[in-house]
Amino acid sequence: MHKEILQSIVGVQVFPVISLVLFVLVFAVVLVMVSRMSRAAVERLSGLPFDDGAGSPDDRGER
Amino acid sequence: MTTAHAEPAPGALSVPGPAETFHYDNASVRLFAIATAAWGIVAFLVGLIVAFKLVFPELLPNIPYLSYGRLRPLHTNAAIFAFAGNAIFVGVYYSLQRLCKARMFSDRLSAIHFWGWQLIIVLAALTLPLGFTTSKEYAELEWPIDILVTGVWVVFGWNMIGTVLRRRERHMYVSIWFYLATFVTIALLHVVNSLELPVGMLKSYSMYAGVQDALVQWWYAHNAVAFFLTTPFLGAMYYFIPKAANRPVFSYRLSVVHFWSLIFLYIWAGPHHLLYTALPDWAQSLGTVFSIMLIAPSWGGMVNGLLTLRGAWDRVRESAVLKFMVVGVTAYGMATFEGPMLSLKNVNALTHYTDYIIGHVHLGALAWNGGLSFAMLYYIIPRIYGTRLYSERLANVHFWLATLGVLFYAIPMYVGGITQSLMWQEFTPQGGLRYPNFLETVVRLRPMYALRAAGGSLFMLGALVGVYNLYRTARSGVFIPGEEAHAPALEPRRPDGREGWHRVLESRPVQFSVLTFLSILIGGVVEFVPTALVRSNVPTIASVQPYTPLEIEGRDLYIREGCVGCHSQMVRPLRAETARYGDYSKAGEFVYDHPFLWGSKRTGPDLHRVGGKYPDSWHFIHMKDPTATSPRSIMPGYPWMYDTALDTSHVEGKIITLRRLGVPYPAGYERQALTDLRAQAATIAGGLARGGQAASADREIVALIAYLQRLGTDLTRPPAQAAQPATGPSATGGGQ
Repeated sequence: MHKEILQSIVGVQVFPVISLVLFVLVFAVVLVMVSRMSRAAVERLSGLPFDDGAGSPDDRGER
Repeated sequence: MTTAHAEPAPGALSVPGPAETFHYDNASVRLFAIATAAWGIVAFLVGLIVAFKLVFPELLPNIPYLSYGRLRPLHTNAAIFAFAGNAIFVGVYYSLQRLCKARMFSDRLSAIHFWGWQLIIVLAALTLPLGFTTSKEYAELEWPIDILVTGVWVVFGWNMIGTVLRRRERHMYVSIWFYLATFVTIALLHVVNSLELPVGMLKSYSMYAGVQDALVQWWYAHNAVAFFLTTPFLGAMYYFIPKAANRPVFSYRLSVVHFWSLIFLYIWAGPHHLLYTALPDWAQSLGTVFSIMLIAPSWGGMVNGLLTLRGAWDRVRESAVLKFMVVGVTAYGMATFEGPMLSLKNVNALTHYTDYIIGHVHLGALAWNGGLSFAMLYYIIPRIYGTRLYSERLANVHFWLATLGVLFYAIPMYVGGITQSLMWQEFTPQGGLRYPNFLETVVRLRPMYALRAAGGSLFMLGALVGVYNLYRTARSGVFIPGEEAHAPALEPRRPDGREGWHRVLESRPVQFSVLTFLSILIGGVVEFVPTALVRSNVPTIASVQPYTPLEIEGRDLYIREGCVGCHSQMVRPLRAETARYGDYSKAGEFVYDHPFLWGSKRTGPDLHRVGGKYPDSWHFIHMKDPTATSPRSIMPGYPWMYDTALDTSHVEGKIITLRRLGVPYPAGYERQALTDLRAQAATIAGGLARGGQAASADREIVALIAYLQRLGTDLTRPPAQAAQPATGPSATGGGQ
């Protein structure tokens, strides 16, 4: 029965292929993008949580 | 990269202007934190009650509002939307402001968001025990509450995006991306899955039927796990682990890859909840492939979280916050490995419908969501009260109780699930089922259910210790409703436009959200377009006819009592199942099922072929006290259905509504429906009376019996006499 459903949808084979191609493309673009980030930019971005302008010591309170 | 914070911003783009003074809104954070703790205790308590009900079925008996079927959705909704939901808002409201260096966009929106969300929870806590439910898992709330959820969610998004737009920091840290993805995706999932046509104020029918409804529902439910229980907590992980460990995230590059691949892949994997069902094979395979691929981003995120602590493991020894984070992130890694494995068809054939899945879910819910939620509370409460944690020792007690609780919960469920599944599948050398009586496999599980309840109790005890500790912490400090901060206004964009395009994107939240929306939409569209075609392509089974009015009422009672929580209606094409239940379920059998009731758990047997298996009198005795027909059964009785008269005031409306949804009742049949209903009820009651059972035809139990006896019988009836009610011309327009 599954086959009957599948065969009755024109060109159904293309759907899984579309999904795979799309993912590979997105993944490749993201990889290229991150590999081109400069070290300085990465350091600045990963430091953002520590720069909240509140001027309070980060380890206050929990020790 | 391993240097600590407060470097003079090596990548800064321009000279900052004069500092502005502003105040972080801690009041909203505190409200959400109190709600998280309070609803957490409620959610765990209801969970404990249902867990103990499986060990002691006589616990709180014969109270409709506290029966297992009604409390189970209350527990899941409370755990997901009340406990984890409020915890998400704690994390977002605390970290978003500090990452944006801006107060929340609007105090009024924050208040509407908070009180609106709590109102939704209260309405859920009232309507679910009262039996108002759509029966679609984690989307059980009826349509007026669905609309309220949509409104409050929009307020949350508006407040969040408004804050991002008013930020004093050009770049959006990766946590904010996860928060935006959460908002955008949950909005889409909720709206699409909740499309339903109302019959009355608290009753509606799903727009979709059968296979389509199942696909939409599991696309929703799977991604509710992804975008409600995963992405916001990952956003929190990327903020709170670096803060608590006082060192930046291990790899920011990895977090970028993690984000895009996770949101792109997750949306496709929903069909892995429907393996071996009547869903088309290609959709099942697509779900499996994408589930396997999901291991990569999930583990990338886990590794990124854990490696952030490299060189700082000494702090884990001292800090309960980090302990909860480490165990939580590790549990996330285990659960996200387990998930793809469970979506392999051979593994799924073994584990689906069993308690293994309950163990899997709770590993994630208790250790990952619970762990991160409590870690956030332990981190935030001392800070917004300007004090220290009341007792690190109590926090450690909480940590160990919680961790042991999770183990005592999950391991018995794993063992029990596999044991039961192997018993279901075991054949004698002669080729018959070794355990033909389903009950034998249930009785074997009772020690496991007892252990699970003990594990849940440990977790609950830990949570109570935690809440006490947080309360004492708050008492020992002075609340800081508005924490003063200073930052220069956002500097103008670099005029030469020499920023990387992703960095440009990161500085534009609206475009970023649109791109995120597109990423998740692609998966949905590729999955749905072919399935939308399925409706017209499901092979017509001429003998499949619409339900009679009495059966519709019986079906609605089945939904009201939450029977779907323990009984599936989906016989998989496996030898062990066809031998036990009968012919496997076909897609064409569900074309009139608004909503579908395939279920996801077999605490009791599958019911798709139960029609005609027992006489009416058996059901009549069984439903009042299941142990009367099935000694040692753990199913609750439903004595109130013998006393309550069936409410027939919506029969006409139900026929009209279902016809609008495509069920082929002839025009004008609604005027005939009540007569047909009474005639069919009289026939059943008459038969029961002849067997010596005093049944009044107008009681609810009669409608339920009518529905149960109809289940799965269309396939074997000759088309000419299929589904003819006792009298009248009903359902003559059936079929396609």
